[in-house]
Parts: sequence; structure tokens; C-alpha cells
Amino acid sequence: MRVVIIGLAIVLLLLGQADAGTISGYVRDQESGETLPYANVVIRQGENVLGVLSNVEGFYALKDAPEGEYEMVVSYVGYKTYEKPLTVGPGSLRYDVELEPTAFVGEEIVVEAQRDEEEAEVQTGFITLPTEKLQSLPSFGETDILRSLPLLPGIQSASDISSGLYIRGGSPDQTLILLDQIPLYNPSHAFGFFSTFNADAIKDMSLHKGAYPAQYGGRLGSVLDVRNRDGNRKKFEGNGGVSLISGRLLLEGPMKNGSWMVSGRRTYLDPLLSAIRNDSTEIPSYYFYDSNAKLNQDWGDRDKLSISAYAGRDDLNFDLEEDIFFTIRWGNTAATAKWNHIFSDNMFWNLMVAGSKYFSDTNINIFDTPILISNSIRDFSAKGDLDYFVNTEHSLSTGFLATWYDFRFRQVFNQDEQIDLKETPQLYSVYLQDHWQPSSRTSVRVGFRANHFTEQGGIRVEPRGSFSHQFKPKWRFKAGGGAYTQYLQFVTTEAFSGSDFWVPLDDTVDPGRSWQAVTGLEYEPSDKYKFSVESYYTDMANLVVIDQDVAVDTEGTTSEDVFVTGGTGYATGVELFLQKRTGRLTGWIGYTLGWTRRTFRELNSGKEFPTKYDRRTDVSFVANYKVGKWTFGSSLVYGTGQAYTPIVGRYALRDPAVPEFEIDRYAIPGDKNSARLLPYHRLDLSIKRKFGLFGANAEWYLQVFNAYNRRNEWFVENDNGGDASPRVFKMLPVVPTFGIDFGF
Amino acid sequence: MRRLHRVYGLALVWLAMVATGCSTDREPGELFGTDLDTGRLVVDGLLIVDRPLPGIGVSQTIAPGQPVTDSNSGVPGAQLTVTVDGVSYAYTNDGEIRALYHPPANAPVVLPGTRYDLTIVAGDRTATATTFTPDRFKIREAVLLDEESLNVTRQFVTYADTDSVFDVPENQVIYQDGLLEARFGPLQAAGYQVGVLSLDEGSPFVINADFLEDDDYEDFDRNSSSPAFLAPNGSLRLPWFAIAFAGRHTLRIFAVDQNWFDFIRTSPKFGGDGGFGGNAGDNFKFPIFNVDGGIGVFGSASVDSLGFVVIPADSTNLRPSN
Repeated sequence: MRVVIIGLAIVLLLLGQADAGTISGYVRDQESGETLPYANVVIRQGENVLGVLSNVEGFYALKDAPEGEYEMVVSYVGYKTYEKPLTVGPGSLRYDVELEPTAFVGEEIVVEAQRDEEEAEVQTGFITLPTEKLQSLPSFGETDILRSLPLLPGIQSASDISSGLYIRGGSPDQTLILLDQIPLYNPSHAFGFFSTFNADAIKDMSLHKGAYPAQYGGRLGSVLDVRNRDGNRKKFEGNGGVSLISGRLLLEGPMKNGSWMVSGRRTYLDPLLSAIRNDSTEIPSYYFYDSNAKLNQDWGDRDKLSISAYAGRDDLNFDLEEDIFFTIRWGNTAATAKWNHIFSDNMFWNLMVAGSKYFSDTNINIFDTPILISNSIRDFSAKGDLDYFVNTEHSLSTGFLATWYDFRFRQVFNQDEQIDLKETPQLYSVYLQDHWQPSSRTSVRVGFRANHFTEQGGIRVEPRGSFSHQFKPKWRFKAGGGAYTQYLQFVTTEAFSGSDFWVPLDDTVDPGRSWQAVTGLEYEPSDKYKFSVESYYTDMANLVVIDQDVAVDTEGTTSEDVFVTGGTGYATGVELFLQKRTGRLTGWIGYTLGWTRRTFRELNSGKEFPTKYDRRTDVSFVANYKVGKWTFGSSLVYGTGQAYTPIVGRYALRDPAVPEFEIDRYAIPGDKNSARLLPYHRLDLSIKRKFGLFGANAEWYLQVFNAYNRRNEWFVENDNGGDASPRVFKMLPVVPTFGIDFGF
Repeated sequence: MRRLHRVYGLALVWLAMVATGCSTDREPGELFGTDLDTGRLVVDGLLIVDRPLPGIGVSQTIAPGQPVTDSNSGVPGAQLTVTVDGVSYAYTNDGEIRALYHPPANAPVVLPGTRYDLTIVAGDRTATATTFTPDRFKIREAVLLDEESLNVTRQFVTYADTDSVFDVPENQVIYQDGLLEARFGPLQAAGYQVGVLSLDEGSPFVINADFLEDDDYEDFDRNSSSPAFLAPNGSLRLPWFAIAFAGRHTLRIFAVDQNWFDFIRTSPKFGGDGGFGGNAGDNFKFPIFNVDGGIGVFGSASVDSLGFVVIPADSTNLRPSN
């Protein structure tokens, strides 16, 4: 609490400063009116340069600028640089800037938009894939951010049909996934095949692979922050598409002093499946949908209100017989109301209240024996963030988060309620962070985050920091680090997600904690090329995994009862990234050399073991070639095979309950994950062509997933109960897909 | 023209690769580990309260890639003793079955609440284990519950009431009609396991599912066993999926010691990958054995049984069994 008081005192002290000579405003896209986060805003007077980055809401403030004549320069890659003369006088000046997007098609020069580049110069491990870039990558049926991210170094997926992200040796639950600042507890559709993010609706997506800053918290590894579009403030627009799997539509337009946006996506597999289903075929019924909506309204120059909502759901029904069926349903629902207020020309306030619900219900009936596994999380959050542009050297950020959770996990077997776990913890967090730019070439960001989780008690303080210095004109050194705590635990299979569930850790175990250190070097010889190398080290402690040895009708429901606790681990590696960013041919080569290890006293005889997703080598080649109305895309990935536990012997024992009838054969496991599947590699190709469709802009595409039909190995099934040899399950074969996108 | 030929050539190569697939098939032996675990003693001894000391199996682990048989895993010639109350009973090898050892003729009946120590010496290998037998176990009552209200609709007749449990009308159960529950009092035991025995060889299947193939039906065993239970309420409910055949059935309920319980709760065969959270994570692991110098089970249990007859709800079109 003392830390909080000191932080607030610093803020109040700074509030008292004079605000003369301040220029502030929003940076927006000229065509749509969307705000542009992290734009580079500079005023020049000869050799004197004063600059600042716009915040995540696109707001900037330049304080204490001496009176005089300047040139205002606002740049944002993918947009034409704004350059206009500006007179700075005493007092404050509201100066909103609209940037014109760079033309893409029909010109010889093609610039690949790279949003948030300026933020990347400050923060280690920070990357982004803009929507337009995502849409140009080969994909499986639909553009999908979670399935595209593994093309970047340091990020892996578990399989061809998984959208779970393994970032720098962290498991999927160690990544905080936010949609418009609301945590999504299960960001997948179709058992992980697709993510819940509709690419049409996404405005901006940023990923902190590690050493993330103080405004985020609650996960040990990384943060994926996805923001939906606000809606076009200038004109009514729409776009959508049809693919083999789903149809989607987004509409957006202006309203008085604001904008609106609605989007929806739904699969149409269910009517197709229904059409081919009859008495002799066992075909499940399945669909998923997701929808987004957003309203923005300005109230004068200083206030902006926005309301957004998200709903997504998956529904699988499999009726095999009258007494044999199963249904799996899961989904997220979330709503937020956000108020942005400009207190003064250099102080920006964002207050958000949000509620979300995640549920996962699995109902199984096997020969009239009912089984129910149900998990739900409801949360309500209040969140406030204050950005204070103290002067041209310091930008101060502070804020709070209060979240009230309502968890429930039920397991009912044969009408017998075996587990009914209810928890209603609360999480309170505050943070304070200063972004200090002592020179135009040096940037320092230091801060802390303090958390209190009611199930655990006490206050945990997490220091965070990053440093960036341009030591030569084209060379930049970066470093960062921080401490992190995780109070919620995700329980899932590594093969697919469906009946996954979250539970809070109670005071019988310590929460997971990690500390991270990241260093990086960037070389940017021209706008055309960029090369970076980053090394990372993450130390983890208090890790838990589900205890599979707990009896099915256990009464114990404390964290200590149901988890194997006290795990430690580390992840370390080096990532290389070479990008070609302009010209007809764009793309990158990414390389990761990594190690990920865990140690649990109760697993693998207490010996250290690699995780299943430990990969020594991971390489990706991504290339896009644009010529006229055509776009050709390709990606080639190669990775070390997944780790698995091999069989090293066999033995036989009688079945204790029927020993006179049954002798069971067992396989002996070797050291955990001590063997490797074959290396993984895959080539994806895509062709796209723009054309006119009833006066609208349209584009057809043909994509080939796994073009040379590599039957990559997925996992090994060891026959525990017999003498059979292990079986390898394979991933997807070659899959061509096609579809049409349109916009009007 | 030359460019066109090049395109056709590339397309043909691609089609050939797609058609054949970039093969990753490999011999199963390639998937085995290299650091083999062979020659470790495997103990198989299950003591039942109020029954004579049982025969005990002694075998050893073998390399993967071959079926486990008595000839390649049995360990004859071992010295095996069971000690209770300071008296040791030396076992002798069966002679025909290499892995099987018989107790001496003067071996006593297994007592409840008693410690039994096992020692096996086979050449330079020694394995030891200890079991503490549970209390005697009795089924207090067995009932049929209404599926909706969970009210008792019928009381079964137990072996304590009569020897002819299969003949009484109370024990004739229509398949999937109600929930069968066995109730018992609190007991000094680590946990419980249930064995289901279908006694009428050749009785037809009561299950009938279009999606099951002939091979699937052949996989149904007449005798099966349950995962580990704690039964905190002092009752166990029989799931209908445990019944596949019509006719007489015996339900064996074992109150088991810690060794037996540890084995079945951690063995993949008995749902050791189940429990809280279902099949989450990597489930290929060693069970807990509690045998020093070897692996296997030296456990004990007390047991009580329940007999009943399963009558098909619709006796027309029943699928015959082999």
C-alpha cells in the first residue's frame, strides 16, 4: 500500500506543474478516422527536435515547447508523413492530425505497413502483425491471427489444428490474451482449429513476447493485445467474405460525433452436415459463431465514450444412439464501456468497466450413464489508466485494475456430484511507469505493478523495465526485464481444446512466478531491410500441473489436492529476424534456437525434462509478391520434432479386481519427453487477385495448406494395455481452400 | 514455350508429391527408447482377507517390441518368503508356469488389519514389499434408485440374506432401468475398486449400437474392473456402461490397501489418466508400485460381492455373443 501512496503522490506532484506551451491531440487515419496508437509526433526548429509517441488511444501531448516557429512532423509507417508549419505560443494548443494512408495497389512502390514500430524501438520482444499483413499470408481457410503468429520467431503452435500459442517456452495459459482490454479465457473455435478473432474486425494487434511493461499483468509469459476497429468516422463501409468454412460480414459507419461497427462470422458446416446425415451415418452437428459490435461517441473535444461487445460460441452435438450422445459447448461473452477524458492538454484518462463470461460444458451419455463436466468464469472489472505527458522527456503512466471473479467447476458422474468447486476471488492491481527519453536516441521505461489476490493474501510487487539506445545511426541496442505472477491456472489437453477449464490457485500453493530478461540488437540499413537478434531467459517457479493420479471421486478441491505443485523451469533462446519491408517482394526469415525445461519433484523421478513443445530449432520463411492485381504468398516452416516419452520396456500384471481372468501388459515409459518425433516442415501457398464485383472491390483467393503433403507427426500413442507397438498420429495432409473477400 | 514446359514440369512434380505424400512412415521400433529397462523384478501378489495366502507371480521387465509371455519374462528359481507375525512362509515355484510361486501347505488365512512382508531374492536381485491388510468389508445394502428423484425403488437381496441371489425377483434388473447403488459403512481402507463379472458365458449383448463394428463387440470383456474410488459417502453407483451382457452378474467390491490403491489410481489401465481434469496432459507414466528393488503390486483387500441378473429391456433382436 505504501508503494501505491508514493506512486499517487508522484502523480499529484506532477499534476501541479504548469502546462504552458503544450501541443496535444489525436492522430487519426484520414480515411476512416481510426485513431493511430504509437505514432511518432515531432516538432522541429532547426537542430532542435522535440518528440513524443501517441498513446494506445492515439493521443499525444508535447509539453513545455518553447515559443516559436516549428515544423510539425507526424509519421507512421504505412502513412504519408505529415509535415506542416506550426506556431507555438504560450498556453495550450489542441492539434489533431489526420494521416493519409499510403497507396498500395496500382503503384510501383509497395510499402508494408508496420504498425507500432516506434513502440518496438522502445520495448524488447514487441512485435505486431497488422491486419493487412495477416490477410496476405497463406492460411488455412480463413485469415487467423493466432494461426499466423507462429510464423514469427519465438512462437510455436502445438499442432496443425491448434491455435494455442507457445511463446518463448511458455504454455498457452501463460499468455494474456486481451480483446479490447478484456481477457479472453478461451480464444479458440473448433477445438483450437480457429481463433475467436475475426480478422475483419481487428484494428490493431500487438504482441509482447516477453518482459512486458507494467500496464499488463496476471500471466507469466507474454501479452497479446488485440483491439477491434472503432468504425469508420467518415463514411459507411462494409466488407466480408465467404470461404469453404464460414461467411463473415462487417459494417461500419459514422454517427453523430462518432462511429459504429458491427461484425459477425458463422460457420455453415451444420446445414451441410445435416444434409448428409442419415440413420446409417454418424456425423456430428457443429457450428461456431462470433460477433463484435462497437459504438464510439465524442462528447466535446475532451470526452469520448465507447461501448463494445463480443459474443462467441461453439456447439458440438453428436447423437450416436438414443442412449449414447455427447455435447460440448463453450464460449465467451464480453461487454465494455470505456470513457476517455482529456483532463488537461497533457493528461489523458481512460476508465473502463467490463464484464465477461466464459463457459465450457461437456455432457456425455454412454449407455445411459450421464457425465457432466462444467466450468464457468464470470468476471467484472473496473480499470483506469492515466497518461501524463510530463514534458518532452517524461511520459508517466499509472492505473489500477480491480476484478471480481466467480469461478465454478462441476464434475457429475452417473448423477453423483463428485466435484462442485466454487471460488469468488478478487484481484486488485496498480501500476506506475515512467517513459524517460533523455535524448532522441535513448529511451528508458521503468515501472512496477503491485497485485493483491484475495485467495492468496499479501501484496506482490513486480518491477518492470526496458532500455533502448541507438548507439550508431542504424544500430539500436535494447534490453528489458521484469517479474510476473500468475494466479489462475488453465487445465487443458495439449492436443485440442474443448472441455478446458480455468481455476484460481488458493492459499494452499504459491502462485506461479517468473522473471524475465531480454536483450536485443537491431540493424536497420534502410527502410527496405531490418535485422534483429534477441536473446531471452525466463526463470519460472511455483509451477503446477494437474495431478492425474487423484481418484475420480476425490473430495479434495484445494489447489494442493488437485495439482502437482512446486515446479520450476526455465526457457532460454536466441531469435533472429530478417525482414524485407518494401518493394513488390516483402517477407521475412525468422530463426529461433531455444531450450525449455521443467522440474517437478513428483514427475520424471524429480529429474529435469524438456516440455513437449521444446524446440531446438525453428525456422520460417515468409514471402509475398505483389504485382498489379495479383498477390502471391508463401510460407515455409521447419522445426525440431516434438518431444515425446518413449517405451523402454514391458511387463505384465494381473488385473487386481478380476485376477483369474485378465492379465494386462504394460509399457514402461523412459525419461519424460526424452525422444523426438520427426522434424516438422510445411509449405503453404496462396494466390489472390483483386477484381470488381457489382461495383464493389473484391478479391478471390486460392490457398494450399501443406502444399507438398508432408505428413507431419503429431503425437505418439503408446498402447499401455497391450503388446502393440506405438502408433504415430499424423497431422493434416495437403488441403486446398478458396474463397472470396469483398468490400464496399 | 520453354517456360510453359517448365511450369508443366513443376506442376507434375508437385502433383506427384501430393499424390504420394511426403512420407513420414517409419518402423514402429524406431519409436522405442534406446535406454532400455529390462531385467527388473516384477511382483504380482494380491492378498484377500479371510482367504488363504495366494500364489504370487515373479517376473521381470523385458525389452519392447515383443509380447510379454511367461517364457520370456517369468523368473523361476527365486527365493520367495511372506512373513507375518514373525513367521516366514517359503514359497515354491510352480514348475510349469515359470512366474508362479505357491505358498506352503501350512500357509494361514489372511487376517484383517495385519502386516505382511514379502521378500524375493532372484540371483543378485532382491525385491521387498509390505502390505497392511484392510478391515473386513461388508455391503450393508444394495438398492435401485429412481434416475430422476434418486429415491430408492427397490432393495436387493445380498449374499448375507441368501445363497440363491440370482433367483429372487428383487435381483432381476431391467437394463438401464434405474441406478444400482451399493452402500457400506466407513472402513479402514485406502480406497475401493469394483470388478464386474458376467457369469453366463454365451449370453447375448444388451448393448446395441449401430456405430459399433463387429470387431468392437469382440473387444467387450465379460469381466472388467473399475478405476480407483474413494467413496467418501460410503456408497458406489454402478454405471450402466459397465454392463454389456444379459444374464447373471457378480459385482465384487474390494476395500483395498494403499499399495493396491496407489497402483490402480496411477495406472493408465484403470483410469490413472482420469480424475480431476479428465485426460489433461501427458498420461504416459509409471504407476506407483511401492516395491523396493522392483515394480509390481504386493497389495491386499477385503471383498464382498453382490449378485443380480440383467434382463434386456427389449429381448427381440438381441445381438448374440461368441
